[in-house]
Amino acid sequence: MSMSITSDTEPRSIGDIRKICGNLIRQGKPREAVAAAREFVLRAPAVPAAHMILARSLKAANLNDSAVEASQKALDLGLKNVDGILFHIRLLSRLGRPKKALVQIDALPAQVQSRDGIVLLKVRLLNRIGQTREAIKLLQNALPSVKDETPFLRLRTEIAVSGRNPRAAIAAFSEEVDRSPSDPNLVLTLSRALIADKQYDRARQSLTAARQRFPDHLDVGIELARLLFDIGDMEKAREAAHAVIEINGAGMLETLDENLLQARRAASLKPEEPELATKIWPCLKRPENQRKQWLADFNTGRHLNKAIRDWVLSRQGAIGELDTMVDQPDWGLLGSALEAGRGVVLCFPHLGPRHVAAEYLARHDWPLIFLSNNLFFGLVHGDTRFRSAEQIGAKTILEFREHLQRPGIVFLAPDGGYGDDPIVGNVFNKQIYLKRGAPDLAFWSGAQTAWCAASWKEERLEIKLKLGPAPEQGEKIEPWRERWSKFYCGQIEEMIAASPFNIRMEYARRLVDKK
Amino acid sequence: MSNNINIVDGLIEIAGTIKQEPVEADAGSAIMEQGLAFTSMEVLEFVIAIETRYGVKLRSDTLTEEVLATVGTLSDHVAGLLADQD
Repeated sequence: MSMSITSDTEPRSIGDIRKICGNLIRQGKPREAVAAAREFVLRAPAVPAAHMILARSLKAANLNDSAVEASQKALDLGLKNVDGILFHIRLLSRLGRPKKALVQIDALPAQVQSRDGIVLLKVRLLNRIGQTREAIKLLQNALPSVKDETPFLRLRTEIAVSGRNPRAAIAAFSEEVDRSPSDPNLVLTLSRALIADKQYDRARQSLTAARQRFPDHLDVGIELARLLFDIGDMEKAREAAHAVIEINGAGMLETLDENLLQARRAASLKPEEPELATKIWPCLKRPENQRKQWLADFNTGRHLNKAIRDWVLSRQGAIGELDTMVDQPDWGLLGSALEAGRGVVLCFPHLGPRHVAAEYLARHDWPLIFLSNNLFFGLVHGDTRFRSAEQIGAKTILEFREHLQRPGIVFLAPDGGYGDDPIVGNVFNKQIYLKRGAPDLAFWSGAQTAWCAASWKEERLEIKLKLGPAPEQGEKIEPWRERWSKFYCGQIEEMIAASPFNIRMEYARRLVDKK
Repeated sequence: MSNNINIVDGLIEIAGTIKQEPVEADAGSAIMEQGLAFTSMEVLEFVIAIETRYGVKLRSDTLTEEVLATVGTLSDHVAGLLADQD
């Protein structure tokens, strides 16, 4: 739609103003984009697209309430553009107005409503307003025809463990299990909902029956072991864990070297996502003559790290073989911090062979709490110092603070799922989200921070232990988080740059997907 | 009782400092769910601020789900600790 021309420099059309605002936003000047869009709206108050451009500019300037008002105005004026409507719906969702968002979704054309992203959003919104059964039914009905079931299964678990409407979730998942009794993943989801609702006996019965029915299903075995561990039945937990170890280690070769060799062969047979490696390479700023080898090795780390994880978990009897390829740090650094009366928030990343540093830390007799989603390692060691990251609540955080002040050590990975209120870090000039637990715990407990992770160095593994910043007297929390994040992200960069074996596909995807 | 009311007001004031805006709450407001809607880390911040203001030690083993349920239940707990100090 063309607009009246008021001067040569002013935008003449919707196309013009869209381009101008888009450029300003890309240049990091969202406030200027808002000003330009506002001026245009004044001249074209009846044009829905003008209001939508204003809405997008306002959102870029983080003025979400005004943004949703502008996008609502665009809809009121008859906006038909589906992307604009979806923008409005997502904004409503973000602003915690699920009912309004659902009304808008229901008004969309059927073919748009059936898009995977929209179904996921609707499931989330239905669950948020307490219509958990409807949410689960919609999700289950969509599952057979979705392009990628991963986000659907993840959301299903999220609904099960969120505890938002546990009884409804349990009822709905029970129905689904009755309908598809041969799906072990559904039994797992039901069990997780039962655990979230503290119905431990029912969860135990459900998982025990599932293990008998699906004896080779790793996750069922692990979940049962974890539940037994969490309710304190250590003997049964170890028994369940060792049953899993037998399944896990069944395909392993005799020595660690043989397993690593096999992992290399597997990697060379089926290179995965070579385009991802190509995209991440320029970030690393390594010499160009290393490019070919680096790209060739990108895929190998995943297999090597999995082989090491399986070795650590299933071959504790032969764990000494690992010692021959691991260079250990000066562990005295941790001892000194504790002797000085300072607790340590010890951080690792979701990179490299993550179980190696934990294995070596577990050999010391420090006052240590491991926080992990993979409690299995604790079970292998029979180590009650392990805590499930999924069950962290306010009370656990308070316990951690007391533990740090004793002083003790808390070992955790801040770059996992990043929760409701993440902080932003910067890795190779890309934003990544980090959980705020590590810096905030250190801040409120006056603890030292440190980095501890096993990193590939050519064919060997080096456990790096490095002290990070500690909060200073009178320091405010925001600059502290920034200081800590700079340290932690700096270590991540070093580790990724050190060897292609250290990077994980999920991490690479996170880095290349960001603007 | 009036002491408890003062503590409720004090807790609400602290909550406002943490949220960086005045909060509309009363003794019945939940701490974690709707109400103050604190995250786990905010609860830690809340506890530390309460300790500093009232000179009490809030030990994690005494902060049960029931104690951390509402502003009123936490206020009763703080009042109990203060009474023990007298």
